[in-house]
Amino acid sequence: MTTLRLTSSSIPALGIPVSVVAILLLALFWFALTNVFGVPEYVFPSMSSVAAALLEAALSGRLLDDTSISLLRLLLGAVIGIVTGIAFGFLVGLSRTARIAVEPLINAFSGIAGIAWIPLALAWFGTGLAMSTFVIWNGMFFVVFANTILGVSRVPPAYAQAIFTLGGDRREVLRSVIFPGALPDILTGVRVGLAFAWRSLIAAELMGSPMGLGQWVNEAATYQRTDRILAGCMTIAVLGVLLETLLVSWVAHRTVVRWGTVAVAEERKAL
Amino acid sequence: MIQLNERKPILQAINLRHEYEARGEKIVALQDVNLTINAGDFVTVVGPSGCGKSTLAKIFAGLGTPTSGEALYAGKPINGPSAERGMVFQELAVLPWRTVVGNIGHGLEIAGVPKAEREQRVAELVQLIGLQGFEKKYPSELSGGMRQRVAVARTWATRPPVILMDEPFGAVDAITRLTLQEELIRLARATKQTVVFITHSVEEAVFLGDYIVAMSSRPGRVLEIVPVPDMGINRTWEKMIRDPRIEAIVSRVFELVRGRAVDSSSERQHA
Repeated sequence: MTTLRLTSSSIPALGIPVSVVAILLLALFWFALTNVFGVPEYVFPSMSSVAAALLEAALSGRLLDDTSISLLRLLLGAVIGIVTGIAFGFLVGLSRTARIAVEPLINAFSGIAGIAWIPLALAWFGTGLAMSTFVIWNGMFFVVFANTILGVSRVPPAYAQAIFTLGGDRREVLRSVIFPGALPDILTGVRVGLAFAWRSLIAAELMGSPMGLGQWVNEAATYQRTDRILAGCMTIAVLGVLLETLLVSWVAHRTVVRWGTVAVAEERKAL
Repeated sequence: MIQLNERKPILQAINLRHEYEARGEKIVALQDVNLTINAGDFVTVVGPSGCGKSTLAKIFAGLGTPTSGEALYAGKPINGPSAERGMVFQELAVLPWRTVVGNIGHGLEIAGVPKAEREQRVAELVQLIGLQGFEKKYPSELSGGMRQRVAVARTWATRPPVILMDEPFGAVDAITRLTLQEELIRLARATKQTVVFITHSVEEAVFLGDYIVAMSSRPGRVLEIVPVPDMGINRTWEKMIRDPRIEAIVSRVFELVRGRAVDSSSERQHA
């Protein structure tokens, strides 16, 4: 599994975060592509027309409507995915037999791309909220589940044994040892799962859900409005980053990073 | 002279045997172990690695079950861990997600001690182990020696009738270890605490123990119980290394654990 990467470093002399520098460079490249080398609008829209499309969508209220419906769908599916993933991960992770029994199944299911379920999900649930919830849950669940199992199995046994000799019962050990001990892996699962869930949502919206950012992009495609397509994609990207920051980084900095149970990218020395 | 400290057996091992399998091979970790530890004793158990001394501590803690024989606490068979027998682990088992005070107060929290009383007792212990100013730090922010003090204080906080310590100072540097040993001796004497201290260091065993249980390896058996003369207030490292009686005990225990003791080899010849 991937390790948790957090926060960026900055260029000491200028005090500008390197991540900002990277974004500026990409913007410069985009500007050069359309305004210097003259790539036509229908191939790749210029920054100004994308900004105009975004502004238009914002003023008409479309941007807010689509964003809220997408976020609602995402949060519903993601919360169910996280809760069920952690709960089942604990059930399986705490038993060696269950772990061995379930492992091949998890690998099989997580191998299927989330999008592959969409046609089936459309048949089962139609185009309503149940469909998107299922698709997002599916994108989220397996990765949270698998990482929770990993996290639970990696908590050093001596931690739990020590609490038993302090008079703690199984519940106390679950609460004060296993859960915080598994948290670094659980957060990795949520982080990766969120990316999967976000992609599944957009795919579900592209393939049939009414409204939502994916549907906005889909409609723009029908009218060949490349400016709107790109505006939609950028909105999706920014929202993805915001969600990750709010749901994962924020929690991580107050827990696993604070405790020193996870290595922070900026503190890890290069080899 | 009136014996103030009643010699009451608190821990007993009766014909203890422990076997386990490793790579298809049967290993006898403990064989014919008979031992009685009285309340208020500071016992050290010393032997080469693989002599089953950690296994013995785990059985007394209730974290392991012997293959045959019995382990008794206060005359009753031990089945499972309990707050009556606290254990300090070799692998620094303080919880990384709890602060210094959070870890030290954990046992009291489990026992349901009211917050105000808990805070007061934790503050006393923090003072005693010299960690003032570090109360709100997490273990990752402490040195190895500090972490070990927290581990000892955590078990000490609830004043369990028995404290088992499994090579608790193995991971700290030699100078810190001396300080920790002297602090432990002072604390144990002052509180008449029953301590079973496991170590592979003969010097440590002689320095700390009222008597030393010398063990052989594979199978782990008790070779001899060597008493240490009462040093009273002279139990400091400097005084002890200059005492000829102590010197004699150290070489005696060395002979025993290295399997070169005179009487055991003569026994073999007679047999």
